[in-house]
Amino acid sequence: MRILILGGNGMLGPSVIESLGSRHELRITDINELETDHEYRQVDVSIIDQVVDAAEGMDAIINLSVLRPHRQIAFDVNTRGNYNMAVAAKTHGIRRLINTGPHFQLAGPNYEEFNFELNPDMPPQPGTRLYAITKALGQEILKVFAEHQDIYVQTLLFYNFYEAETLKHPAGGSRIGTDLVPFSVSWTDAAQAIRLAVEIPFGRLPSRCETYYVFTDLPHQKFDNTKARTQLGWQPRHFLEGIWTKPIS
Amino acid sequence: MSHPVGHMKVLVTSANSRLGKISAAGLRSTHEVTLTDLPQFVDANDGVVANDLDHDKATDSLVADMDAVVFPGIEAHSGDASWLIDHHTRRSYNVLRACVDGGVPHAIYLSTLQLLDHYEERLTVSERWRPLPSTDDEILAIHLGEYVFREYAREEPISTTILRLGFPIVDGDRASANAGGTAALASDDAGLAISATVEAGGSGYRLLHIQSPVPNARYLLGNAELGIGFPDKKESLAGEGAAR
Repeated sequence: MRILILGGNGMLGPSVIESLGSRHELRITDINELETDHEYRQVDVSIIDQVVDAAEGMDAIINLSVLRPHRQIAFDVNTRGNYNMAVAAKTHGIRRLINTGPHFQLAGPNYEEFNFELNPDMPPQPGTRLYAITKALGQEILKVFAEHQDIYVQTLLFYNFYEAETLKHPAGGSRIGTDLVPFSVSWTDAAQAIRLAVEIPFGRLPSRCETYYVFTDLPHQKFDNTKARTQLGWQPRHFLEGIWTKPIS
Repeated sequence: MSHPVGHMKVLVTSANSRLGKISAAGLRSTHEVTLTDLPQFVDANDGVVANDLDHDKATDSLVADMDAVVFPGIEAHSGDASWLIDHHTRRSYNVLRACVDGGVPHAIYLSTLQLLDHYEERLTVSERWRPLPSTDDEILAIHLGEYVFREYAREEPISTTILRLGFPIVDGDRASANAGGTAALASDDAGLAISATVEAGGSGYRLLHIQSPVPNARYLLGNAELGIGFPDKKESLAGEGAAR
């Protein structure tokens, strides 16, 4: 499959490229320069012509782009970036779109602070935090396009990523025995879920717009990852036990 | 913050657009109205404050001390999809954030019943029915604008009201809507509904369908009648709302 990756030099990009690189033909794009053995183009996801041009000849698009703190750019990238991806798909007849984002673009504070057993098929309540609502608006754009165009949108939601061997958190330091956000996953398991979403036959998708919670099996029962396991066939290999267990003397 | 009817300070954005002018006409006779629009739509000396509605002190100052803000969605300024999405998401977000920070209690978004146009005419479509936006640039952008206003009401100390206005909006009084079809809204009725919504005050999150009472009217107006006394304005309802 020929796959366009938007935001390929972001945090999750290297793991996804490693997971897909030997199985598919990748066209990697990012707003920043990137050294890679794959085809590379410099693309600003907020500029529609650049995204449409980059998507020519592709079978699928994966959007890993994200911008958090800046008011204007967050809307440009997180919201309009998805619109641009949808237009690119429509323009070139690309049917498979993989979208990514944080879990709270669906389960914002009004869910997370009050409830348990949260699942990815709930109506979204992102709240008003900039990162959450801009990503949620982007997801809503894809949903509307999926309802009117022959495209299949799969949105994979993540939050905290860990190195499987060291349990190192991107923010730095070891978190052993400190508990974790119960929406955590190893980089490699996260990338594996994206690969499965890329490769799942359309006939196995219940609808043209599906959302998954991607985190490893955890005992908290705050969120529910069953859908990713059953629908995508995803099997996390790293359970991060060292963080959510503590030694007992 | 509540004021007796007739003494409310109201900001209308996109004031030089068609619906901005209709909003101002509906409010001006009884309220203190401030008009603002993006700089490219403002002429010198037209009495409209030029403001980009960016995330800055100019926007904070603009909304300060207002009792309500009216943000036209439909029949506002046109542009390409990127411009429309940016305007209805980022700029509405900026205005609402400034409202929250400035203690403005109520913001009103002027949406469209075209979000429900895909339902057959024979159906009893009310506010309980899920909107079915198309990928049309303006309709999609307005659907997203509703999303932003809804989340602010859910999570922030501000009330927001979505008025989904009938289509087309026909210039003139209520009788003129008869020529516009079963979903039509007379511009006088639009002004009346906007004014009544401002005077009723905010109440958490409220979604109201507004069209003129034409024969075989396509959309049910029960919520509007209860909430703001539209299309038949009842003084007791308006007065009660304004006192909240």
